[in-house]
Amino acid sequence: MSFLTLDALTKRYGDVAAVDDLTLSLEQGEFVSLLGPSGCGKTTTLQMIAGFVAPSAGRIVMDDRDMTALAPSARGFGIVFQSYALFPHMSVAENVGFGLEMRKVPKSERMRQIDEALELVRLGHLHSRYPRELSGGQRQRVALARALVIKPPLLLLDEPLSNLDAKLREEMQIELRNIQRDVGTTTLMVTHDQGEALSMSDRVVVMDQGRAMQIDDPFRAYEEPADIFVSTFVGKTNLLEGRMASNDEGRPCVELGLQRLEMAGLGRVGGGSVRLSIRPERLEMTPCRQGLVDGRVQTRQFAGDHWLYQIDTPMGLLLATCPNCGPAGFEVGDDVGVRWNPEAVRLLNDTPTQTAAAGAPL
Amino acid sequence: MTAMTIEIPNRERATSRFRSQRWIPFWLSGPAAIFFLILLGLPLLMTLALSFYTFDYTQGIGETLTVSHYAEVLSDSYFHEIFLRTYAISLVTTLLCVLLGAPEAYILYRMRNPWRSIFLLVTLGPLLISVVVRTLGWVLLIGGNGLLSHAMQALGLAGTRGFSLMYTHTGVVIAMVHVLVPFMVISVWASLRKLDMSTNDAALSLGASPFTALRRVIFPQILPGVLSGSLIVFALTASYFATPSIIGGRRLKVVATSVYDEYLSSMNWPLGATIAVVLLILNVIIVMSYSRWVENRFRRTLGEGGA
Amino acid sequence: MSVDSRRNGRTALVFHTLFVIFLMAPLVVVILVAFTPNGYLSYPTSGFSLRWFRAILDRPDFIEAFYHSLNLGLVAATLATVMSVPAALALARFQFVGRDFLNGLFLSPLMIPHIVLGVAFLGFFSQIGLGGTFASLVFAHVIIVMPYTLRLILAAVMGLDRETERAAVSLGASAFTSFRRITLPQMLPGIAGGWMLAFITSFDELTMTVFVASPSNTTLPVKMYNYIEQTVDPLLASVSTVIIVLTVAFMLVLDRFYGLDRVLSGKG
Ligand SMILES: Nc1ncnc2c1ncn2[C@@H]1O[C@H](COP(=O)(O)OP(=O)(O)O)[C@@H](O)[C@H]1O
Ligand SMILES: [Mg+2]
Repeated sequence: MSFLTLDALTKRYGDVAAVDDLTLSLEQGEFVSLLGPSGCGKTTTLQMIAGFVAPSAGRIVMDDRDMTALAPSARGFGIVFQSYALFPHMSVAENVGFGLEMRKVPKSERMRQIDEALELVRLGHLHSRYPRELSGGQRQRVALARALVIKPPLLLLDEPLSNLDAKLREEMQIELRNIQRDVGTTTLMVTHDQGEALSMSDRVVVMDQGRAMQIDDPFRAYEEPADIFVSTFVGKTNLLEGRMASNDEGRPCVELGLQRLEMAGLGRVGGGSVRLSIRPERLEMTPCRQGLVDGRVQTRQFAGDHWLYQIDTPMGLLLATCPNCGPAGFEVGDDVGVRWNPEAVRLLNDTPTQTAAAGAPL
Repeated sequence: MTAMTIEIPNRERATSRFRSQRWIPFWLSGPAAIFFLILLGLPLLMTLALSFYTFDYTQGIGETLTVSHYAEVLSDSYFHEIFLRTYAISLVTTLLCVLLGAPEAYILYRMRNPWRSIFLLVTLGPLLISVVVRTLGWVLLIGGNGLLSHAMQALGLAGTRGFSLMYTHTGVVIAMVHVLVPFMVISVWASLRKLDMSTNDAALSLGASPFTALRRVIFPQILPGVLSGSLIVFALTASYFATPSIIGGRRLKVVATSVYDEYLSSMNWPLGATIAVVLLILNVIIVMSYSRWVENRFRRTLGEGGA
Repeated sequence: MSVDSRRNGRTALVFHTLFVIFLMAPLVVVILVAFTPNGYLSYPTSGFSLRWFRAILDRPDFIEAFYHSLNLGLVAATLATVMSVPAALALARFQFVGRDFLNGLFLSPLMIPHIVLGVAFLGFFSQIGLGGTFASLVFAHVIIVMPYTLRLILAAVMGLDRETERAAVSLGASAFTSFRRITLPQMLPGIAGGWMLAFITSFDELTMTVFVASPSNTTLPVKMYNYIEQTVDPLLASVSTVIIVLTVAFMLVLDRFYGLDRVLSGKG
């Protein structure tokens, strides 16, 4: 039995469903991300779990206890708000101690736990500062300490890092995940940043228009996207069109450039064409006529650790990346070949299927 | 009467390239400055001077200087009573405005549109309607022949002679609260617009009851608005004329109506000027010290000086 | 279901209802009494009548006072605006000796009780021989409304993105063209809001004007105040009703145009 279960959770505002029939299970100690574009219903989901928004349908069950109708203060979850929501009129220590005070923890014990929590986020020295006197990263950590000090069974994070600049964000991603591992609190994080979701989570829930499109571990979400939305939203990809054919033994296969691919699941597809996806880093550039398709380099960008090429081919404009191991091999205008491994090609469902979205936890 | 000075960031010092522009600000602000110095500075100075001239009921304003008017105002129990009454009315009015205006502002803040805009208009709109009209409404409501009197008679709570709050402290306070409470609402509203409502959610998520969240988290954040609203209401009430004059009449003199009477009934201008000067000085002292206190209190936490 | 933490509870709505009744009651009573068919103060229990509105037409003194108030408001608000625009530019854009003093001077009428201003103007204008003239009313009203125009215009200047002016100059505009085409249009809402707030403040002012006005140059609030001192009859209610209707119309325009809460934040 899982620790937290969202059972067909739905929130409708008038005719629009902000969250549509979301089912999800979290294991104890797991770090799960809700990933999706702005407006897809991530915050609404989180707010329903927190108890600030009443679901239109569905249930929230924790440890076999139905929490759907419980007041926010009775749930005891730790929440880090996107704006941090620090109390501006209270010092750092008072902010962190607020939840303990509400739980009537005696003063001396409270002090000890505040110190402990501030040590955890490495802010022990800023005890008596006020929120206005802190940097963005420090505020973020105070918010985290305030949420963790009450030892919540569940930690909810709403875009916790989106107000930080890029470098600080990367540092905090690692630090946040380390802290979460240390304390072992089951965590649900909302983010629109796919890099953040992939690097931090045990599992990601990719959402679009209120629905979960895929629930998987980061590697599979990236490598085996369930549909076009997931493949384009999680990482960059080349969307290709393949034509259905049959091979010499009469089994269905896909024609892509000079390649004939046999893939699982082709039986379900009718005739005509299918959608395929291949990641830019899986494309290999070769001299002309040595690849599976020929093309011409249209643009080239340097991105530090890799080069990014756009190659004009009969199959369309292909995006390819090469690791930066010395000077670039090709110039803009060069005629090149492009090659790939048959295993790198993914077949995409045009329409999301419920089987893909309901993926069981590992 | 909020922020007497608007904070203007210091511009970088003019470099030599812009020397020729040195006189521009003086040309730009010159007309208004001259206008104010002549038409505001001179009248005030003349009033101050007037308060030191002798006065005689038969010969009018004399030629010699005296401080007897100040001595009179500061020592006569008649004036003590007027000042005490004025500030007592101000205090009660201010408290009631806080008790009514602050919750109302918060309720408005939590409404959704279109209700929010509609009731904001309903609440603030009366500020634009003439004070005479609003006070007249109270005369019609609480006067001897008013709605209140009829209601009380119907309930058997008042005799056949009716029931009137005219010329009573209660009547003056009710009407003053009505006239000034929108100032409290607008002042608290300004604080609320800076409020992050997710702090309320944060408090709830940490186990606070809605009431505790209101008391410990929301209220301290709108306190600067409450305090600056209180200052506005208090200072305005202390010098208000129309409402105390119409509702309180001659029987309940306040500072402003006594100035009016000295000038236009007794024609004792020097004494009237003295009362006016004392009122002005008290007002300035109260506003200044209160603002300083509020500023010190909130500089670190909310980064604003309320009043 | 869990409570929606952002909704007003029942107690709050009861409080709100009572508050609105408290605010509206005197205005509603005034309007009701204005429609009484009786010759004395009473509610229109036996039918509505317009006789007290017709009675206004028989009082040229009230109509004249109304026109004086209107003229005074227009002239004073306009003069205050005309002086405030350059003054605001000077205060916001330049660092010069005496800037803080001027800022305090222009806003000081907010801190001086109107009763004090009233007696000061009475003494001053009678001394220089302008007592009771329309000009003296205008001067006095410019002083009390200019803090409002200056505040809103100053806020507009300071909220203005100076990069837009630099962009105009970089595109070849002269300083004057940039001011006329870029700066002024962006200040316009502040100017209009300030003018309107100044107009209504002048139109309503009683305390100071009581001292400056004369029987031949009086304003509507002063006229009504003096009338109340004598007697309270339904004529006052019908005149008040006209004022309420006009003010509400004006307020709706102001709110559409600038936002009432924004304008009034500058009024306190
Ligand atoms: N209180 C509300 N009333 C009406 N619509 C809302 C409300 N809150 C959110 N929505 C709508 O629900 C959708 C999901 O919003 P949200 O959960 O905030 O998205 P996300 O956090 O993923 O950006 C959006 O289309 C938003 O407009
Ligand atoms: Mg969101």
